[in-house]
Amino acid sequence: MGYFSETTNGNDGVWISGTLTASDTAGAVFNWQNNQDVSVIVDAIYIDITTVATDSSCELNIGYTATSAATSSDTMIDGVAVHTNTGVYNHIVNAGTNGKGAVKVAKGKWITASKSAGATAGLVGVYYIHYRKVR
Amino acid sequence: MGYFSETTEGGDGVWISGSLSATRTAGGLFSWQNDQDVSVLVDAVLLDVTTAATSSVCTVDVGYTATSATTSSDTMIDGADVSTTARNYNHIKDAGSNGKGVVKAAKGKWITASQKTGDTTGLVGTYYLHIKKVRT
Repeated sequence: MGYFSETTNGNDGVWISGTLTASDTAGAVFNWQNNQDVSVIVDAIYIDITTVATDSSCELNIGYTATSAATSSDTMIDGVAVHTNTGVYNHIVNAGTNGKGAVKVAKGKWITASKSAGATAGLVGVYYIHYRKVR
Repeated sequence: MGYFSETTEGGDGVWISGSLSATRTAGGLFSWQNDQDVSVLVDAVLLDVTTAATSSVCTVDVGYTATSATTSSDTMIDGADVSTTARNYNHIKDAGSNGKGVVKAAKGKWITASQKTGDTTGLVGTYYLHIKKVRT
């Protein structure tokens, strides 16, 4: 068995992480603004839910928006239920109808996470975003 | 919010690899114990099968278990048919019904690969796991 790090040359990308906020306002679960000097491609989003929402119908959307940090989008994760099971939800299995797998985020624009149904009270977790600069 | 490179502490994107074993017991294909100091996210599992199993029916499971190195799990790859074609099997295309795409492996717990059906005799290949430490 061997361990090896990912290569460092070229454009390997960067992980961003932060804690989720139990807020029902659009973009308030988390939002991240592309502060790089160019557009980036976001190719992975995970949310590690350690405590589920108490509302039995709570769902989340995560995606790209060019409008504002307080705008909901579902272009990465569409309507994932976070009210029953803790665990790691992601852009692959939890893409739903509108998840695109990867999205390009223009300089200064946003990835937001928002309540799409129910209420987020009680929700606890961490988000992870992976991005790489465009060529 | 934290920024970190995959190759630095905190980012922790690391690939683990090893040979597959044509062993029919639970966890016998391979088992990997999380030897890191915290939980890790396992976000990619690849099986590079270079020789398919000789059995006409052989499927394998790969996934996370908190029980033991000899416990079968299918939370990453569920019932991939490795009896006919030598190719790369993975957590996306071969997730099956129970694959979750990404799993969190607690410190000291396991990712195991096991025969699900048939017989793994003759199977040859290499596994690759990608892990990253959780935010602490």
